[in-house]
Amino acid sequence: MMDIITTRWLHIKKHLLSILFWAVFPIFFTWIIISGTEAIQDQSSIPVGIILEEDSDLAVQLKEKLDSSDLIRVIDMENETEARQMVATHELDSAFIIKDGYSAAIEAGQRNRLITSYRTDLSMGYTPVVEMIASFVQEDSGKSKTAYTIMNLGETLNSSSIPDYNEIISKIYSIEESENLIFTNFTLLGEDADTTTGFSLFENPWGLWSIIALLSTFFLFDWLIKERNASVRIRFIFNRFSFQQYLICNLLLYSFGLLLLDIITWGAFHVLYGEGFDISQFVYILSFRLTICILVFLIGLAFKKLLPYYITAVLIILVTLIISGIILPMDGVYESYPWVAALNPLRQIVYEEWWSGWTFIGPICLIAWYVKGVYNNATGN
Amino acid sequence: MQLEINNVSKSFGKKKVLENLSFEVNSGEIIGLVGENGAGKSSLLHILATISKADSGNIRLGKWAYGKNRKQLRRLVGFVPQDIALWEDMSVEENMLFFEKLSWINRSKVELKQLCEDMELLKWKEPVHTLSGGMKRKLNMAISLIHNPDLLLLDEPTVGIDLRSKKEIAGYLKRTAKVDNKMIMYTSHDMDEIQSICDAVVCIGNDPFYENLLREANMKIISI
Repeated sequence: MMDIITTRWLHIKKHLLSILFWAVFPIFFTWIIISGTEAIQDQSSIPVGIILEEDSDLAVQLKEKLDSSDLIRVIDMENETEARQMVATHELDSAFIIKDGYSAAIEAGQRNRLITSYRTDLSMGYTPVVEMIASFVQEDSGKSKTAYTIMNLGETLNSSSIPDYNEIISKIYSIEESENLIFTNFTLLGEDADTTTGFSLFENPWGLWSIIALLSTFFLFDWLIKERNASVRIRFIFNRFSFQQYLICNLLLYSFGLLLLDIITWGAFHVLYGEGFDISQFVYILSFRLTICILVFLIGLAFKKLLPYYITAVLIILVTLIISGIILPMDGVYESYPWVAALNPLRQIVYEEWWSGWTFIGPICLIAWYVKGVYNNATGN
Repeated sequence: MQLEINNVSKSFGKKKVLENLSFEVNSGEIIGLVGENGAGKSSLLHILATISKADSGNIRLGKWAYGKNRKQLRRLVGFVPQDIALWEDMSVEENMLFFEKLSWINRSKVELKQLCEDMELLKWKEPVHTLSGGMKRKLNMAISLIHNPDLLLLDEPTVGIDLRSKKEIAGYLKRTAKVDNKMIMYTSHDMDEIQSICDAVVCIGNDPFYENLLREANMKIISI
């Protein structure tokens, strides 16, 4: 294998820049797109200053709820004067001070004068934020009122086990979660639960990365077309390695090299986006990498010229995007033709599966191609 | 070592290119294959190189019979293709190193460089695409000699190159046949070259024009 590595290096050093470009392209492109998307989202959201005068659970929850909104970007402030100044200079759209005693007031069912706000004539986000805060306060005070009603009822009825305030509030949250209509699936009796097979490109970095990794693999494997059609091919008859063996060794070499890069990518995603670092994820990456390397290799074997190969690579990426449900919703197609979802070469990464149909089809075709080559070599065809 | 060819025939469809061809070649001999285009010279070289098979007849190189012992035979055979078979973007050194790594035997860089210098190929670091046709032909041949074959087959090795390169290649072939005791078979349309290099000639295609030409030149004809 060392000899094959040396021969590969002789080729690689002639195209070092382009190979390096395609090798690091998936991780850099993913990072740029995700960073860019986040920056655009940050820039397009309204900056709102929040000052917490108390650190009660209810006050912190209110701030977190505001923070989870896509419309606004919450900026933690410590000082009211500074916040007012920033509103005046339009660095902040508006500022809200959750006053000391907020939690006690909510628990007491009081809904007036809980929050102080500052705005200017140009504060476009003020009204929606006020509406949002009013709705959250209403929700919290409603829960609080419910808790006190239950506790009072228990006392009136001399119940032996009256739940305390916190128990009732946490029960309300659990009921809300389990009966949330937005996230509830309904199925007819006897039917399987609907499983969505499409995926969001930006849900996690792996979705975007897997598409770009497939594209870069196609471009990194163009050596196959160049070398298969080179005049030197005849020389392999008189070498220790047959041409088939030479290609297979290079396939293994590239797969191993790209797998190492994938592991580095995995580490980078762990640091940048907090992606999981467990053995299952490694198996998904390994299975994905081997599958796409073998598929790209087999596709490359069908081409004699580079241009049709590159065009086919781009078309395959487009088809993959379509059958992944990124461009158009594909749920209806998946219901009628479930095999369409199975064709997706990115399954292992996107749906976190250990294998897909291609994991078996690829190696079987590869073995068939190799055996055919050995037979032709032996018979002189 | 001896190469024995007995009653070898080869057809492509209805066209017979080789018919009951028989001759023998010994170590140290240079045999020229002559005949008109399409007569079967390259076909015979391809059969001897184990790239294709004869339809009938027996061939034996040393103790190995053709047909079953391809792997062993390929270690003994060096084939110089008619087309330049080189990595154009690599240097002379890199081309030699590339094929040495894939070869059956290990050769040091010094040995590889010496092999090129023996053929007057001195541009060791130059990229192949900057070399002249003659230099490329020499490198084409040098690569085929890396595994030190006993039988060297050359398909028109001097076509389209300048006179100086022709002379240098011819000189090298004579030296390697006599000094290294190698069998050399090669095709050419240049009768002067055949006459100056070859010990004997195989005239392929039963063409009276070539037979007369060879007789006039007092060439030893070992098979017609």
